[in-house]
Amino acid sequence: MSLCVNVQAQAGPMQRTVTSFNVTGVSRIDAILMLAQRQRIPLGIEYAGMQLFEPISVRLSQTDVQGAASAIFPLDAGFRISSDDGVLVISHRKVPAAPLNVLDTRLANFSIPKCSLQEAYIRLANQLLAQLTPPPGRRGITGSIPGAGSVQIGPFTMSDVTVREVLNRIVREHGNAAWIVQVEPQVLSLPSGTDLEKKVADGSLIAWTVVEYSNRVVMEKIGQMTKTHVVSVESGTH
Amino acid sequence: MMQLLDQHGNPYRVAGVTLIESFTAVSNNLAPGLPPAGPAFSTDSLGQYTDDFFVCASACPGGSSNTNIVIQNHTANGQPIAGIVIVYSCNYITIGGN
Repeated sequence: MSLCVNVQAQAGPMQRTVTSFNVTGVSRIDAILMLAQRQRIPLGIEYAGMQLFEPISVRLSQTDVQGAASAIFPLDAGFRISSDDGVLVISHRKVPAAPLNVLDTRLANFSIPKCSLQEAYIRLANQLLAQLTPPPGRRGITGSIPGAGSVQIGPFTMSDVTVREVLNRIVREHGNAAWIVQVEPQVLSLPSGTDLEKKVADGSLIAWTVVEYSNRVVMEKIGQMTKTHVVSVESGTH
Repeated sequence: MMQLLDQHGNPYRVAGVTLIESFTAVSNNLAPGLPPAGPAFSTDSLGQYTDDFFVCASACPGGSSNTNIVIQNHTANGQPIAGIVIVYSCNYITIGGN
């Protein structure tokens, strides 16, 4: 009698082979979305400063996701690349550190039923707003969930987690989606007092969005839409 | 389903129009703050899209007659289109008066 065990080492997403990756004059955000979409890697972009929209040209062959991401986001330009259990996360030294970053806000509990990416996004936004809104004698949420998702995620429950960890879980469960910050790094700082109340009231506290790779129409435009949003917030026209 | 309309009020049956929503507050007597804007989405082959509205407030279901009234704005392929008045109440939600 013999027992054969075939153990096949499975490369993590960051070590996945990239046979070739060529872009010319494409913004960094579009380049990383292209890479993540092709490699089917969930993605988080928590830096939306102007360097994200700079056009780059990259010609790569026989590398891995880590190598390709590093070529798009050079460390010496301030970028930081990490992996959170399979989610490729792009950050930058200018992004506020915990606990000053709204993405580091801890939620006591977060749960979703089986639902779309869009619904999970709205549920997270509402959970955060509910937690940060001082009780004025009237609490609650209103809203809408636009667009039909192509994939259902959940159900899951998380406890004592940061907003960033929830976003990573959401796109990880989806498998082919990204979350993207929509404001300059300094705007990610968690305000307090009247500034917090103002941001809750005007809806600007939720400074990120999500996108499914399968939505080609939105994927083609999300880089430009992100830039437009960042510029409009910066100029105060949003 | 929601239907995208042209400037004459006729159905605009075009797929792949990218819509981005935002909200403007009119009055907030039921729940604080604006609804969070959803992620960008696109129309189907009929120029339609889904949008599910909800309200969940501590004042409900106690029969509160308070409402939140907002204007839901969209841009369609970057161009602003007419806003829709949304009224959230414990017992009903109206969208453009319906």
